[in-house]
Amino acid sequence: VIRVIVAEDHPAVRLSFETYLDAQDGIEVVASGENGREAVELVHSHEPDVVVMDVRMPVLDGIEATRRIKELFPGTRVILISAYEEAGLRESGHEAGADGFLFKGIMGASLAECVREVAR
Amino acid sequence: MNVRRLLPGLMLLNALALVGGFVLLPADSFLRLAVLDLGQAFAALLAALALLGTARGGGGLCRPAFVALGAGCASWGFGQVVWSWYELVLRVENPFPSLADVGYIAGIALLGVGVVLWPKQGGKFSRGELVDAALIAGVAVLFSLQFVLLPIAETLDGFSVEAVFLLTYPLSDLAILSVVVGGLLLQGWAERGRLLIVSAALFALVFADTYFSLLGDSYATGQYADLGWTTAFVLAGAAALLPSGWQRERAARVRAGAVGATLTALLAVLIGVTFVNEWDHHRMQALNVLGIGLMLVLLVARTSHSARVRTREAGELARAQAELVKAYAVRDGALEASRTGVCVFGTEGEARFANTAFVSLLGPARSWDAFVARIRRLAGGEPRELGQLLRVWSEDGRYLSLGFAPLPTGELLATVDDLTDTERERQLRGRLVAETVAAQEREARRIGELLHDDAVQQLTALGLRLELEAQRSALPSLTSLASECGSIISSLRLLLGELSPAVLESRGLTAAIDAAAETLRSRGVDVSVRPFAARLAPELERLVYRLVQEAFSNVLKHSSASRVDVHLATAGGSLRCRVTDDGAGFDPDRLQAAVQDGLLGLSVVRERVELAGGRLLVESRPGHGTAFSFELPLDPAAVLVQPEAREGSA
Repeated sequence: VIRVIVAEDHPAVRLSFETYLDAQDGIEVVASGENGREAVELVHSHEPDVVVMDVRMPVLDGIEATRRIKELFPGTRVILISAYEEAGLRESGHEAGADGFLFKGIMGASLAECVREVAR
Repeated sequence: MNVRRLLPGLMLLNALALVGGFVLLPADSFLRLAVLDLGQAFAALLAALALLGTARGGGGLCRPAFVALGAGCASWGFGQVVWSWYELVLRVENPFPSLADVGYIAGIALLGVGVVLWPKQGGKFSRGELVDAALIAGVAVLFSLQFVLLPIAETLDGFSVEAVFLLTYPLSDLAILSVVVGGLLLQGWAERGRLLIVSAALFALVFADTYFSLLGDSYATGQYADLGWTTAFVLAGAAALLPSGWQRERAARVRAGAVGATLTALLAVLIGVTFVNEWDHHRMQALNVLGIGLMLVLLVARTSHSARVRTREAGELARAQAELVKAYAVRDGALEASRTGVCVFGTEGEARFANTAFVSLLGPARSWDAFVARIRRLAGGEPRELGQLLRVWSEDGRYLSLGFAPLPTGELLATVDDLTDTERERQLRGRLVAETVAAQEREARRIGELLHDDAVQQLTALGLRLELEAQRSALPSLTSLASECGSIISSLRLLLGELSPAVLESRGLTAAIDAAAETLRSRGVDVSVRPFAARLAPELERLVYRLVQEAFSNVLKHSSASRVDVHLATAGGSLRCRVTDDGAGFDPDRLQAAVQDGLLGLSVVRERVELAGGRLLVESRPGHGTAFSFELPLDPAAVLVQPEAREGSA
């Protein structure tokens, strides 16, 4: 089972990510948070396989949170999700160590596929 | 004052009585003698009163001349009183010479002095005029020698006091004649009308004296010479009594030529008479007289001709000068009326003319150096090359456009225009546009954020839930709904990119335009963006991006093109952009109407481009696609007016 943590500030989106991924075979959402700092803390406490995280979040954004998670737990995979093309965002994400980069509006199937891909 | 008012009447009465007595009274009567003797004395003394009275009452410029002329008349009158004393009281023949002759001769000398003292009107006499006057004087000398002095000398028996006095009359008359002729031929006398009368008076005197000299001992009171003297003093008195500046115009019309012609005629008569008289006695002498006389006539004629030519030339010069003065007045009047300030600096750098507009904008003009120093102070540096425009703000907050131009005369022309109102309007428009653009950008970001924070999130959640439900229920309709939801989010994402072109700031125009082209590409249009690596001022990049977006929007709405090319380049301080398509194109004439009707949104585009100091060109032909080109100055200050610029002085 791939253990996943979801970090997303928008409650409806967070819930939909949790519900969708949790419903997929071989994927279990172990925890979720609403900003980057919570995500880092949850990684500390749950040591998940994959973190699915929004780029734009209050307190600590997805890019910075990725950098900290990758420092502490290089084995943890991170997938960043953005609502729209922002200049250099994809590059910044890769620099911070993100393993995947998706846009919102993608089909849930692609998200699940991506989770399985990075966790392999 | 009362005496002066009575003088004209007295002079006229006296003259009438004298002429009446001369004509009507019996030739040998004592009464006729008394009327003529006393009439002449009164004539001279009244003239003296008139002249001295005028001199005492001011006399203007003529005062010294009138004093001398008045003294001359008084002296002559004194001589006549002495003469009358001998003839009327003592009833003896006048001794010759006597005290009377002293009075006469001193009088003539003083009259000559009077003409010499006559006022001149600025400047010196020309050399040519002086030569002519000298020639006339020479003629008079020759004439006098031939016809007066030599004949008198022949009658004398050696040296005697009597001989000296007899010769003194024609000699002093000769001097007066020369002076008067010179006076009439020379230009530049003041009060020429009065001088003319005085000259006429002295001519009468000279002819009377010459007549008297030729008669010598055979003269007795009651002959025609008496009328000459009387005429002389009536005229002299009249000259004094006439108002200052009398008949200036008419006097100016009395030409040297007319004077010359009169002299020539008088000479011709005298020569003719002498010739006829001599013919019977000495034929050789008569021929000699004729020859000399003809030469003199020719000389006088020649002199008067050249004087006439000079007078005409002087007239033409005066007319030309008057025209010039008029032309200057017209020019200065036109310049004065101009709203453009104008100042002409002379070759020495002195300010020669400045109109009211100039003075009100830049203060009184003194010299080129002071002007340059002032402009340098305002401009914070040297004025640029002459002929270039310079724009400065004055201390009192006026925006001035200065121009310099060298004139063909070597003078310098400086112009100044007040552009304050135009400049303020331009700034205001620039500021409005800048604020409008900024507000549009802010609004676009706000809408983008709203879409992102709300619509995109909600749709994302909805899509995932639909997909999950589709998985669970295996209903194909739910799968399709989830897919549509994904499409909507993709469209929104493109829209977000256009609304807030973050890519423009981070990666420049090519990337941003390329991203904006996605909308066209999604409709199957092949869009090619020529790479353009240069980074420009942020305002300029935003403006270019928006303009290209507008071009894309027009392609999408109107052209049904299959291919679009975007070409960006910098050249000579400008950015050039050209967006071409292979679409339907349109009739340029209809474009104009469409732009005016706001159908193409091009009027706003054009205004933006022009406010930024650039140019917009839209070329099209039906069936041959459209080319949308614009050129913008790269100078960032020219892109949009900085709102804070010149706030203090505006």
